[in-house]
Amino acid sequence: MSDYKTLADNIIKYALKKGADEVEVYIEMGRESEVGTRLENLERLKEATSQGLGLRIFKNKKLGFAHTSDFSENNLKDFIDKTIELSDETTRDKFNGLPEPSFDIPALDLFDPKISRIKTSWKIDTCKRMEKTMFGYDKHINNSEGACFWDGDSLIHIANSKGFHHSYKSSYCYMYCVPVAEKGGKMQSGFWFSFKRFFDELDSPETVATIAAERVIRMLGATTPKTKLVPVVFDPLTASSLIGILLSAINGDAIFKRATFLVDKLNQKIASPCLNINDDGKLTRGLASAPIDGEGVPTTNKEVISEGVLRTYLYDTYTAKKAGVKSTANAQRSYATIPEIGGFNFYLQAGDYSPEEIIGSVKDGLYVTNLMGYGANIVTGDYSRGASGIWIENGNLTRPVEGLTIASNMLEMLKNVEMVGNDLKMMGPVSSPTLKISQMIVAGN
Amino acid sequence: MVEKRSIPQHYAEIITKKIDEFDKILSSATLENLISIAMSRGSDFAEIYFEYAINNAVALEENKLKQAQMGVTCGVGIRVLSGEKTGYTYSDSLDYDHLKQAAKTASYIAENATTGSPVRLNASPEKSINISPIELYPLEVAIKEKSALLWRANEAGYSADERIKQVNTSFADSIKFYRIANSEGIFIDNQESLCRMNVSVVAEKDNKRQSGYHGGGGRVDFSYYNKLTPEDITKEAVRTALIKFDAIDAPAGPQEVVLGNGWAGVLLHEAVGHGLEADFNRKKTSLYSGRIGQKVASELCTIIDDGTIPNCRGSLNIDNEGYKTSRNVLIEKGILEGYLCDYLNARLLKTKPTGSGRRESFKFYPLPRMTNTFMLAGQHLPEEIIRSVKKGFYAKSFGGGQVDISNGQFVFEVTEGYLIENGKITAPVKGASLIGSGPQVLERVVMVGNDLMLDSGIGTCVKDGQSVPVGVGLPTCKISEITVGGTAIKNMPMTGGKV
Repeated sequence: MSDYKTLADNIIKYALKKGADEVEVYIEMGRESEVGTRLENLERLKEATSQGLGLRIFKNKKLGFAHTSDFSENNLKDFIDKTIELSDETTRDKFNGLPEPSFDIPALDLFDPKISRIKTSWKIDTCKRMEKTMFGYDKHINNSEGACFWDGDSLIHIANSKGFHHSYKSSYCYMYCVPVAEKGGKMQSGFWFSFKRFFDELDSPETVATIAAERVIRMLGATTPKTKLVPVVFDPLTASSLIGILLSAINGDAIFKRATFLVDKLNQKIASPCLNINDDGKLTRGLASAPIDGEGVPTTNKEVISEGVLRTYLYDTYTAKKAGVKSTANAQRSYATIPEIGGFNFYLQAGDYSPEEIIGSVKDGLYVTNLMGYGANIVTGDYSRGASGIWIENGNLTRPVEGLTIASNMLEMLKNVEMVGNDLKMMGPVSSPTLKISQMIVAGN
Repeated sequence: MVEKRSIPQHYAEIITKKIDEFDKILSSATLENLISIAMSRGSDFAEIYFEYAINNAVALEENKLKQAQMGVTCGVGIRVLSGEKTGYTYSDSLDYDHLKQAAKTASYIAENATTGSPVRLNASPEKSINISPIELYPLEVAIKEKSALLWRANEAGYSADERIKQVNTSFADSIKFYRIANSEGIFIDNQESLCRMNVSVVAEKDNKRQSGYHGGGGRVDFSYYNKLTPEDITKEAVRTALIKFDAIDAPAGPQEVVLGNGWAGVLLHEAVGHGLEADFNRKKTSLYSGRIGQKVASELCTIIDDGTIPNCRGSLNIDNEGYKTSRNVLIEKGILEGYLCDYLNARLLKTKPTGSGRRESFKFYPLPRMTNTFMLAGQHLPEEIIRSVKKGFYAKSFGGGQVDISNGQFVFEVTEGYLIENGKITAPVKGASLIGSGPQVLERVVMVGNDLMLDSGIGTCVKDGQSVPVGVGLPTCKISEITVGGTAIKNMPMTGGKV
């Protein structure tokens, strides 16, 4: 780690000497490992480490950026010279510049040293157990796209010419399986996963496989119902994907460009009062947590929507200066990219109802368990996606349905959120409990 | 005369110098050694894939050239196969000890403990035959020249219409050099150039906003932008944005649909192409598994995947396993002819690789992938096809799409669509998507136009987290019925509500 600090300091010194006004070095070192089985046989092993360095410089308020994976002294001098030359090509922008350093950095417990020590044989066995469980669940599960265990860790070091420097480590482990079931000559595939920062928090392979198996078996024999205007209940997985659309719509850069449906909506009621959404960068052990953002600004937890009112957009240093506000510490990046605005742990807070109560409230409607396509237009808010799931009749889940599209407009949908579940679990970077929207067009036959 | 200068350096200069360097580090003797280490535990195949890539990008937003950036990636991927099993590792260090360790790590996949015979490579690598001749590589062109294109697009956008409030443009180019050596004796060098220019606009009227996008590029000479000018690209982006102000809600439900030519071919890519990739078929998880020789589409459909079209975005001189790309007939007059095969799946399916083994970079093992996928032209004039529809939907262009391989279900966001009424294209429509199953839609192709066109070079396909550039194409064609997802249904009572 101290090597990286020396490396970064030397780069900063050299770039300043060569005429840069402000310099930032972002170094990333990563390890990844992937184990996959199929039909309970080992199918693939992947193991690697890599490193990369991104250099951002400002000269006369002009930006230059370059990245490399070659840390040799010979290469780096040439690399720094070129980055400075690149800045000469861009337009002066008075909002360009680095954030003022802050060292009030939270400790978030993101690194589990156990993860890099997990034995390959254990991972293979875990994958085999997932497949064994799903094949044992139901005789219709007769094929598989495999089971996989994936883990990795990374070290990030950020340093800049304003005296800021910080390193942090993080780890993750992830497992999933994809059962394929067949009935009457028609196939369906399913999927479930467990994704954590800490090894001890992972679900058991049997739990993951059982959920994946349940999800595929209940889809067998799916039909396409008639086109209708009905209430739609999103399960936590599909609700997360819906909530995730808001991230692009509150992006401060897109807002400045007036390119989202949430332009001019700050402090206005844009959603049902039962909607409370947070973006939390400093959630302990959070899957998308980081002590600092991509520019070294300490992260925060903020209410984005509270009781239906839009409270903030998301900013990095540059867009915040333009908007005349403080950065919300939402700069996201890898070493190979210029910082861009993005979310951390972005989630809809749990509501009052159990998922059973929500489903029970619907007389005739759709319970969505799978969404397809990218059909949300961030500029207009028009929403149209492929969907499959279970039809609800008189408060009960009845028969599987597929080949549907659900459509509405995001602003309509936000206002029409009628019930929020109490079943919030942090499953990934974006999380949500079960969610009910009072009406949407469900297009089928 | 287009100016070349030190940034970026002259391409030939950089690459010649670099290849000299690589020849020393990755000589045939070194590669032979690495292959034999990788195979030391008795695998039946090993491969060393070396890659060196330079990426450049410039971006113009808010009347400012905001970004000028470059990046270099360089590394080695080592793959070992043993039966159906893959061992893979990569290294961004070219240090021999690192590579030796990597080869050992990859070797652990094999458990046969019988050592194969060592491979003998030629003294120097074969050079691939360049199918996309280029005189002026975009990489060689001075940033000033590239940003001049962006400024022209910017000007064209803002002056096109007072409703245009934002113009964002960018130009990106790359060069990828790769060297492949494997235990079958393949030892080959290849280089591919790629570029793309993008224009997106935001228009505003009465506090309503719409966006439009267009772009173009491929494995083309920089002079390509004298033909497809920045003004042309911008004009199309502006047109697609402005037309949406007059758009009505999309009619929901099944209807007769005409697909536009060109980019709408992305529907073939999703609905059919992925299902014909050999990995899904070997694993019998595609609904096309075991159906070669069977009728899977209307006899009007002949579908091709062709990686050899000069200068196209999806084309390659050789694939990322060292095999020559080819023109593969997937479906001929409705009959399924074959799958897209990489080396591993070809071997397991006892057939030949089709030049379809592709990977995003050295950090990934190859998968069977598409290149440029399209349907051959038919007999009808596009006007005839439109005229034949009494009441229907014209899907001219799509945004993103997705497919479920197991049941063939696909969904597409329509970015430009119109009603067809009494044989005429009428009102533009917003917020529509198409949903259906691949084979069903292909069975329902009832008219095919004579206007096959490939897209302008903007497609990127993602599979298992790997992105690769692809091309798509389609003649205008009529589908007797597809479900359109939208928000407009007439006289439909609210049937839901609380119990």
